[in-house]
Order: sequence, then structure tokens, then C-alpha cells
Amino acid sequence: MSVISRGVRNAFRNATRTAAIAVILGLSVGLSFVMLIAHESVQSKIDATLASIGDTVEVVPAGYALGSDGEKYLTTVELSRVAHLPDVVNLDEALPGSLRPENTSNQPADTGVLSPGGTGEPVGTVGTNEPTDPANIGASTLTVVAGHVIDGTGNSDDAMISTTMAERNHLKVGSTFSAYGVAFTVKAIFESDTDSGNDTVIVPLSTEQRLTHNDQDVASAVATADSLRDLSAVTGEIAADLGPGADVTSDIAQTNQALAPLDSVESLSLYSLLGATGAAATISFLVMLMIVRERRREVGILKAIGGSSGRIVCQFITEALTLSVLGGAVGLLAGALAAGSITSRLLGNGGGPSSAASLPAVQNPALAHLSQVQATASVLDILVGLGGVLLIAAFGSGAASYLISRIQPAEALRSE
Amino acid sequence: MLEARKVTKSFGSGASAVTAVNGVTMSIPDGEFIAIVGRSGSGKSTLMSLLGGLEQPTSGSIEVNGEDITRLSNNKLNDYRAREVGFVFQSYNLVPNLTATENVMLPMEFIGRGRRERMLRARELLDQVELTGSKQSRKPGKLSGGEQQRVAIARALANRPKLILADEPAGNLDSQTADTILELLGALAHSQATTVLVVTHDEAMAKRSDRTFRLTDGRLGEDDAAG
Repeated sequence: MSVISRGVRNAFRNATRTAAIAVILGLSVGLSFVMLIAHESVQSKIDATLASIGDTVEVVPAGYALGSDGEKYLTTVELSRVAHLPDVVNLDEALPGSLRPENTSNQPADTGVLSPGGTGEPVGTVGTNEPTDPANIGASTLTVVAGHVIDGTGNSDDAMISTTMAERNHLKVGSTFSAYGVAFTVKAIFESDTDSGNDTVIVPLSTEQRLTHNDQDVASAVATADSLRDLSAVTGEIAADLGPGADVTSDIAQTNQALAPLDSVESLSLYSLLGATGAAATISFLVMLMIVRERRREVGILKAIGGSSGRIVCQFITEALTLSVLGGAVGLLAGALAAGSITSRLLGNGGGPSSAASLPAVQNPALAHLSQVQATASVLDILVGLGGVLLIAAFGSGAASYLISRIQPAEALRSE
Repeated sequence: MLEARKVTKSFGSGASAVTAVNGVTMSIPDGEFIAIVGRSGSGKSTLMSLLGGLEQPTSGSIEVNGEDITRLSNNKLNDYRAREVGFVFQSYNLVPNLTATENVMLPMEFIGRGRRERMLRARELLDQVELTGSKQSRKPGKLSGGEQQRVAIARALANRPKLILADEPAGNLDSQTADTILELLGALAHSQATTVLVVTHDEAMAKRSDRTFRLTDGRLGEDDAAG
């Protein structure tokens, strides 16, 4: 029989003791595991919620309404400062306008009057330094299907039009059309997911500013923060930089308010996890200390007949690991069964007077299901839980048996 | 050859210090059956522990085949106990959750013998001490005192030690079983050139030995008559 098999067998030398230890360890492990699952589930929900709101900050002139003929503008100088803020990684500037039909007759094959319906009506335009950003045309997708994207930072008379507009006006990549008294060249044809998007012509920001005589003016901008965690700070920095002349908005404030209860639950579960893990470690150590001390005489026998301290420590660690695997299995099973219910209780999913952890009512669809947290144990959670239990057991039993194994055999044999 | 020179062992310190073994000097050649007698509390068991390397003397030296075991490192002392010494205790000191065979196999495991070799040797030794059949598979709790002491003797012989130290080996046994155990130890000393040192308070038992030392209040004297 090797030291390992002896250690395993020792774990079962007393059925009552083994069962008691498995239950005690199981309870503390189970509680730790439940808190680990609750913490991870809530954290995951918070991360998903934050990810869903995006990492952008919208900037418009104070009192400006999109689509209005507003005479209020931001300036490229102001926005240049925003673009250079440390946590801003991108700044998408836009200036909307309107093409007025010209040359309503005598349309050559590839030069014509541009209109959404091909009937010479005014056409919406947008000048932007980020021509592929669908938000500039009120869409959520924008895909270039032919040609090359225009240079948004340039000042050329290039344009991007939708497939729909190209077909109705008999235009293709390389065709020209006239507006503002200049001939625009179609550089790219795109498709978007909205009608308004498909009815908009995209041109470089500087071109739009030049042709609409709004030199340096920008109607709206969207800043992208380097991370979600910095979004709140970036929002504040931009607002402070632009002052009262600009409305700076992001979903972060509402999200933070909505997430506050989840943050509380996350903190609660984290502290509970630490407490339960500490309890599991203490129980494991004390149990092993008790086992080793009550077998002090046996340690003396083993040393008297030539057993080394290392071998004795190894035997007790094996015994502790065996007991911990038993306790861990009981705990993980109990924890997996109870995790959903306890997480729901923590979040107030179950209803009732105490339920709420009452998450506030919110308008943002991304925040509408914050209280619906699905508590699930991943394989990683289980491995982390089991690994933690075994580590604690190995340390506890190792420390306890090492202390005993250092005594002289005669001293251990004299003890009862 | 076992030689102890001015070996002293004290417990505690200051005014409350107790000297269990006081300046013991003795020399024991290989293959002798030695008895150390003395009253309870005279220091017999402590002397045995010192000779077996179970604890360190306060002063003095103990040489086994020329090597001072009081200067050995813990690892070498473990090796000394595993290879050179076999212990037989009054209270048997068997590991309770191992079978008789497994108890005998244990010292061989500590010096790296293979499982099959350990098993064969353990059975052979148990047969030799007349513990046969299903009793070899029983745990100590299912064996009588005499049977447990036989297992302890078999365990002490497992690694073919040069020295066997027996502390009151028949102390808990009836007279008939005690006789058998002593005969076994005596035969062992003479047939295998193993030094057997028996610690006892039983004068009758001491008479079976080749030489008898008497321990009084930690001091050693040698009896003139040998058994």
C-alpha cells in the first residue's frame, strides 16, 4: 500500500467522521460556490448591459434638434479639442444639408438631377469625416456594395449614394451629377437598413461646409471612449470642455442609476464569497488540525519505524484532499441546486415586499431586463470552486501535519 | 557494536528539571541478548528511545557501528530507524487501520522495497511468528494482545535490522505468551546475529538474557550474573 492509497483509505476509516466532515465542508463550499455563481452572474449581467449601451457620447449644440434648420453649430476648432481628449479614440463629425435640383432637363446618360424618387425633389445630404458610420444617415447598418469609400477628411466633390438612389437616377460608380453648381462624382454605392438612410447623399465634411457656406460648422458629433469604464469620465470631460453651448449625452448616467442595485448585489455576493471561502478555509484547517492531533501517536509510530516527515505530510494531505473532494462534491452539488434560487432572492426576482432590490423603472430597452439574471455555473466556475477547495485543504492539512511531523517520535509516542 | 558514552537525558529546566538517564555508558557487541531492568520510572524506556534514535540525549554520544547517531540529520536518523533498528513496544504501537500484513509491510515501504517483495516478506515473517491464515488480514483491533505483539515483532524484523529494541515486550501478555515472545527474541539474537535489547521490570525475564544491566534512578550498573 503506498502513501497515497493509505491516505485515501484513512479518509474512510471512520464512516461517521467522514460523513460529518463531508457535510460541514460541503455546506461551506456550497455557500462559497453559490456566492461565486451569484457574483459572476451579476457581473456578467452588468458587463452585458454596459456593452449594449455602447461606448459613445453624442454632442450637439445646446437646444439643437436633429433635422431642424437650427442655426446653432459646433465648430471644428471646438471639436478638435474634444478629439484630443486622452480617453477619446474617435470623433465622428457631421453636418446635414440638402441638395437642390439643378439641370432638370436634358439629362445625359450618366449626368442627371439627383432625387430620392428620381423626380427632381430635394435630396438630403450629410457631410462627415466618417462616411461609413451609419448613424450619420439615421441607420444602424451601412455597407458599401460598389466603388471605394470617399475620404471624409478631404475637400473633394465626391459622393456616396445608395443602391436605390443609383437605380432611380440611373447612376453608377464614376457617374456625375450636379448640385450647388458643382459636378459630384459617385465614388461608392452603399446599402443601409433605413429608407431615410438610402435617401441621403454622403459627402466629405469639408465639402458640405464649403458648399453650404457653413465653414467650420458642425451640427453634431459622436465621440468614442476608449473603454466603457471611461465613458462616464469622457462624458464629463467633453461637457466641461464645451461648456453650456453644447448638449453632451450618453446612456451612462441612466445605466449607472439602473445598475446601482446590481452593483450592491455584486458587492454583497463578493463579500459573502470571501467570507464563505474564509470559513471553508478555517473549517478545513481546523478539521485537519484536529485529525492530525488526534493521530499524533500514529505519527510517532510512523516516525519510529522510519517514516519521513515528507511522507507523513503527504499521507495527511492525501487524506485531506480526499475528504475535501467529498465535501467539495457535496458543496458543488448543493450550490448548483441552490444558486438560481439564492441569486433570484438577492435580486428580488421572486417578488414580495423585499423584492427589490427594487430595480428602478427604465426607458432604455437595453436596461429593461436587468433584474432577470440567469444564475448558471460554468465549467470554469466549477473548476475554480473545486480548485480553491483542494488548495485550501492541501494548505490546511500540509501545515497541520508538518507541525506534528516535526516533533520527536518519542514525544509523540508518549502522548495519548 | 553499540556504544553509549556518558549519555544523559533531562526533561524540563531549572529547579523542575528531571534527569531520566544520568551518564549512562555501555557497550554491546553484535548478536547479544541484553536485558535492562529497573523499576518503573527508572529511565529504562527513555534509554531505549535514546538508543533507537527516537529522541536526542541532553549530552553524551551513542555510536552504532562507529557512527554517532546523536549527530545525524533528521533524514539520516529516519534512515537509521528504518534500516538499522526494529522496535517492539509494550503497547504494540501498530497502525490501527492497517491489517497485520500491511503493518509489517510498512517499514519496507519506507526504504523503497517493491510491493510484491514487501507482501511476500511480510507473510513470511508473520508465518515465522506463527500468525497465520486469515489473521494476517485482520486489523490490530481484531487480534489478541499476544497476536498483536507477534505482528509488532514481525514488523521489527521486516528490514533485517542489526538492533532490536523491545520495551516491556511481554508486559501486557499472559505468562505463557510472554514466554513464547521471549523465546522468539532470544532465538532471533542467536540465529541471526541481531542484537536484542529488552527493557523490562521483570527479573525472571531478565534471567533469559546473555547480560543484564540494572538501571536505578537513571544510573546504569551491570549485574554480575547472566541468564
